[in-house]
Amino acid sequence: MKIAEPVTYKTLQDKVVAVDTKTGAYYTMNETASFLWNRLAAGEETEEGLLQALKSEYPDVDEATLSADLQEQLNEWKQENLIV
Amino acid sequence: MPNLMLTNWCNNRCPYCFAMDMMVPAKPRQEMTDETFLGILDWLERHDNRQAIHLMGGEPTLHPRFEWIARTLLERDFPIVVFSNLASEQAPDLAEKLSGLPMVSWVMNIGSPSQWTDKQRERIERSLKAIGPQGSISFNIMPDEDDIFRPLELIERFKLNPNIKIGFVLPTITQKNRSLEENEYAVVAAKATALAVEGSKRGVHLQYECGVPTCAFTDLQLGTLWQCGSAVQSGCCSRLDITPEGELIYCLPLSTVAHKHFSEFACYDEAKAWFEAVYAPYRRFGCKIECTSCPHMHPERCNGGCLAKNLIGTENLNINTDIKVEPPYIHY
Repeated sequence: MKIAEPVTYKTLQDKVVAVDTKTGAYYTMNETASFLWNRLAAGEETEEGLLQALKSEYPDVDEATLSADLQEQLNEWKQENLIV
Repeated sequence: MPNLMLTNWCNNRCPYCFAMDMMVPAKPRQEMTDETFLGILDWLERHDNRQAIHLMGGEPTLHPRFEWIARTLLERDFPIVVFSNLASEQAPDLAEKLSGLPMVSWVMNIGSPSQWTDKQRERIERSLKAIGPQGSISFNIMPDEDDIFRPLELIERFKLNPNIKIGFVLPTITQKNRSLEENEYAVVAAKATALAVEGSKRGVHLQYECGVPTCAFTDLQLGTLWQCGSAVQSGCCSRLDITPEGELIYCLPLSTVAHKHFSEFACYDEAKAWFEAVYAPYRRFGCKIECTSCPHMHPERCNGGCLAKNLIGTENLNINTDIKVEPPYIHY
């Protein structure tokens, strides 16, 4: 899993904003999505790795919830062609 | 119509210069040749809208053929606007020679007036005397500038055009020039507001260079500026630049990102449309996360600050220069 080539992004006030330069679609991410995105950008390519990162960042949240949220986020990004 | 960068040489060394990536010493000294100039002129005549050509540098009056270039443009019915610091050795003579000619105007970049040398002051004042109402002032206000009312004095003394173009010093994409720190925007906004208030008492109003973010000003300042007839409006790059070698660039702060020789385009409109298409996807990046929903975001009012500045820190920046554009082209 990695960030799709036409997607350009930057961090503004701790939140990631991304643009699909092919479609012009623009995405503003919340804090958790920004955290995940930055892990992806840093080279974390597996779902398991991302889940472990989430567990470290949000130790008070149970794993099932984190896993479901992660799945939902990754599916959304795949649907939008932000990641491949 | 474009800005012609006649030379990349300048008599000043302004630390904030947004042309720095193109200038000596970043590049070897270059002057536009007669052949390149005439080629550009033929090319520009294919454009339907005959608007003013901006002559820029570096310092354009340092081009050894400046007077010939200016007169050639005038003979071919192109109005000209000369962007000069008026402090070069040649500037006063050239200002006097072109004085009073129709279709000629001058914009003087005032630099840091508190740091002028006696020699610079003498040349500037002699030039301004010749230029008079055909001249206006552009002023990049530095946070430590303590002589912000100097433009007003010059306007009154030399009966210049009563509009001052205000710039905030912004980084080029390579960030080699001096630019405002985030906390300095408010300082400069306060100085600009003070200048507008004083200016309005003397019939002088402010306009704004590109890349000035509206949110640099407080709501109170924005209201004051509006009342003074100096409402903040800052579009983004209405003109392409052409380098001494004939390379087109979108603007000087983005000179290292994308460029093409003018001869690769059928006409100026096509070139402009191409550059707009190349940079269009990146316009969505503002300077703040709030830009996406900000009511001030509008092509002619605020673009979320400077495009070059907003591209700094962008990851995965793959500027697509394989774009093709088709007529009809929108006139920008």
